[in-house]
Amino acid sequence: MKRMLIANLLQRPTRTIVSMSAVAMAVILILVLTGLSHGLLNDAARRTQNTGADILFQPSGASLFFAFNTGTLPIKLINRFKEIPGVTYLTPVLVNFSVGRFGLTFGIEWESFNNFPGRLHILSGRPFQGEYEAIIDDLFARSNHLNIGDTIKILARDFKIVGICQSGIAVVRVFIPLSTMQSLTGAADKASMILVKCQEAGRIPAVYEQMKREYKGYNIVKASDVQDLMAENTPFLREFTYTIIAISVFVSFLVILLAMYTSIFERTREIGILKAMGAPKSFILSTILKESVLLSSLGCIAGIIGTYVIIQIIRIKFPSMLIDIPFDWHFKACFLALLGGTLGSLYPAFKAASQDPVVALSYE
Amino acid sequence: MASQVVLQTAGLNMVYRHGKLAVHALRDIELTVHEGEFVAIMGPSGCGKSTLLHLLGGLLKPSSGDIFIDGMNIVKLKDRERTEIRRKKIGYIFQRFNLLPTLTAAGNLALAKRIHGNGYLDEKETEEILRLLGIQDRMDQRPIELSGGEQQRVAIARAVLNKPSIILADEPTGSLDSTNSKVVLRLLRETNHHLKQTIVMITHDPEAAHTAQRIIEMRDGQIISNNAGFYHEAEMDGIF
Ligand SMILES: Nc1ncnc2c1ncn2[C@@H]1O[C@H](COP(=O)(O)OP(=O)(O)O)[C@@H](O)[C@H]1O
Ligand SMILES: [Mg+2]
Repeated sequence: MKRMLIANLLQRPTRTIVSMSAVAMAVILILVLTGLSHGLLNDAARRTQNTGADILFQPSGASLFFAFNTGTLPIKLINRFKEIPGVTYLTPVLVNFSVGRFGLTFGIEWESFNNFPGRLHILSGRPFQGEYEAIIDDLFARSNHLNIGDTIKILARDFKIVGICQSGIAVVRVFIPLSTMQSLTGAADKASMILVKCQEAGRIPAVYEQMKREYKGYNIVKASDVQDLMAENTPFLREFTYTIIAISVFVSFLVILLAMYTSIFERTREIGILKAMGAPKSFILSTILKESVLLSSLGCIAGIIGTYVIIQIIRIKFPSMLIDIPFDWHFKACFLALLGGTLGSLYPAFKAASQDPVVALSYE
Repeated sequence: MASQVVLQTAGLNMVYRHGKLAVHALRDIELTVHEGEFVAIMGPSGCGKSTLLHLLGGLLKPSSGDIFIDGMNIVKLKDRERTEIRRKKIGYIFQRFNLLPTLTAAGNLALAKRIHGNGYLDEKETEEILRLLGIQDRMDQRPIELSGGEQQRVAIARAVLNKPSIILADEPTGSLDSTNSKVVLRLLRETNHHLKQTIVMITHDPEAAHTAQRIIEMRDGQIISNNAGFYHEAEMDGIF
């Protein structure tokens, strides 16, 4: 009965607002967290995909974040890949990670790397020609006050900055010639990964399948799968997300439990009257359940509104933080919060339904 | 009296137990109530009146003995079936706080209608009862906005609208002043008369008891007297 439900919610406005807020908090936590983690992964994945490679070929156990990869891939493989039908461009990349300094450095082969859609756009200066020349991106240049002609230390060597390129390729800020990096790291004729570009999108699956078949034990990834794979392989992100979700659901469970539990004590007399009127258990049960579902639903609506308010604030305060809430998560978050709330009301509902009517009636 | 028996108890005993403590609230109650009768139960506080009423309506299970409603032994029934009997055949009126505080008078009646489903009086009959009870203009008020007398009248309306065959009233005038008590008693008697409902009413007030056809006196969980009597047909004619 709608009238009774609404009357009960209005009768105890503080309880209603507090329990609504708790459910809303759960929804906000779930949505903001998934939004942030998706934003993070999307950003990383986008940068990987920005290289324009269709397939990444890496040694087994390699990381999609490139950071901890060693150069163990023989460059000779490229000649074999060229024979795979559908492959147009290939380029080897040797990755070096220096903690604290500027993160990733890519050793690249200028000619072949720039066949890729994600080629380096030189904003000023020129490509590297000599051994100890480097190209940095504009963000790195700006934040470190570096200019063409300056030198930077990479792998304990001085490199002369000869060009500044546009930022955006992977998370990489610094590029040096592949051969230089190979000799500095003792990885002659080796690469960390080979980027593969196909003639057209339609041929990617066939190329991928063939590589998978012929090169067992390697880590071969389609660029379009990078995001999912990152989500799977990012340590603890999934566990962390699930923990927060579980806590959120538990919070709405507890708050609704408490709210309904206390309210059935207040309503002992009413429950007695309902029983005296011949209301069956199911009626009392469903009355309590409906009330908590309504309460949780209102909390969900408030939670979604609250989420967008918070996202707006984050966007203004931290513009570089990317939040990207997948559409279906709106429903998932609400479903989970509702589930928590409903489970929380089950015990009070059963307790109310099985209350001794005579005790309830002598309760004044 | 040739009319049918609607309520009957046989060897009814009720013992409340709280751990080692046992209160023998009712002892061997033998009671028969006929269709359309108006019975008053009197007795000092704690003598077991409310317990008896709760047992008659199936809100409690006796420690031993049988309770028949329209010939059916409700002691033998499952909880759910007893609830069903209560829903179909019994209307309760308590001393106070009969109504759900969050709903208006109309809301309280609508809730009852929802619980009872079929068998409810139609719109016109309902209107008539509300007018008879003098509360037709108070239907949009919530219980706290109604006087005690008005609340009891709404409770009577709620108890009778379902056309239950039995009305069980536990001190319905217990917290009313004498004017309102008289009104409520008159209304109970009128509904008893009009709708042929059987009424069992607990009261402390001898004057209230004299509204009834029969007074049952209880003491220490037992019936000590069971007199037909004060309900004179002549007096009735005078009232209606
Ligand atoms: N739920 C209960 N638990 C234990 N004892 C009760 C309970 N209800 C009533 N009693 C006891 O049973 C006796 C009869 O109570 P009751 O039926 O309420 O009497 P009355 O309505 O005549 O005042 C009293 O002694 C009372 O204390
Ligand atoms: Mg009593």
